[in-house]
Amino acid sequence: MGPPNQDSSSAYRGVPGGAGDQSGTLLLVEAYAAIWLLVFALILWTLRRQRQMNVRIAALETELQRARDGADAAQPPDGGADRS
Amino acid sequence: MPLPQESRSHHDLTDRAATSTDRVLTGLVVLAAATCIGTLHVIFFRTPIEATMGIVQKVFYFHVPAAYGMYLGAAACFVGSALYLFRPRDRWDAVARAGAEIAVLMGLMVMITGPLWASKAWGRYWTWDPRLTTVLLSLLLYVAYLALRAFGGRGDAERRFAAALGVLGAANLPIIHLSVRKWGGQHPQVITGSGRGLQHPDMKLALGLGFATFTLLVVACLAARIRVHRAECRLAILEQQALELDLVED
Repeated sequence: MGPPNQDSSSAYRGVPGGAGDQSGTLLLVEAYAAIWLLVFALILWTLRRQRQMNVRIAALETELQRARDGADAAQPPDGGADRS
Repeated sequence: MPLPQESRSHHDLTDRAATSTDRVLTGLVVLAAATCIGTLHVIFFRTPIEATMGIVQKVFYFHVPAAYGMYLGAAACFVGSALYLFRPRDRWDAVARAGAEIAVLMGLMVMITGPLWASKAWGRYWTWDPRLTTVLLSLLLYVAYLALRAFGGRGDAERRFAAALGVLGAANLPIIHLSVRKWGGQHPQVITGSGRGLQHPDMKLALGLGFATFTLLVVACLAARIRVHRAECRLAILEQQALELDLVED
């Protein structure tokens, strides 16, 4: 931990004429790329969600199949009719 | 308890189909990404800066294909909705919903890039020009569609109502296209109607690549979203069945 009384105040000063150095082309490339990256992020997020749902669907299908098989096995082969 | 042979082979078939669809979709996304990079390169490092408007004109190569992407999404929503009204199936509902999502996504891009250009060209971000107003109306219609789907429940009545909205929403698309010709306005016509077109071959190339990129993006997004919505339907059915058999807790 640093000394408590250390002065951390600071100031930002602009370079005179600095704003004119910004490249319009670079800014546009960045803007385009950012929007496209967002679209790709949406697609990748969708694919990831799809994979998660596939796992859940497969697990549920297995569970349901197991439950149905168990119910079938519990029933007598003749449907429970008493022949005695 | 092991699964019966028939059930296992069904699972295997479903898994194989899902894996091959995954591969196709991943390939499509990679292709779309490569096209995006190529398009960016052509737009910014090959296509000349427009003589009157300067660098801001390059929004055009993004704005027009995004509008085209919005039309594609809206068309998918229309087709899915009409087919759902004719024959209610989960797959048509999924197509309609995915189409509306793409229409909103692309519509937002149009509504972001258009005012950026307008700010430079017209000196203001927005004006109630016929084309701008009709595009905004379409975007709001598809936002309403998605709000209805998000908060309106999963019943057949809600789906049918949404499908009717999806069909009616498409009625605005030709109006957007014809609005400039019929009612004038400030929106420029460059490649349609009385437009004089792009005067440099690299400008045409950039626009063509923009269309190709957005076609790939829309197809990839549509395919991914349709699959997710179908999986959601399947999951909801299975969860209901599992609830009925007391396999899962509510």
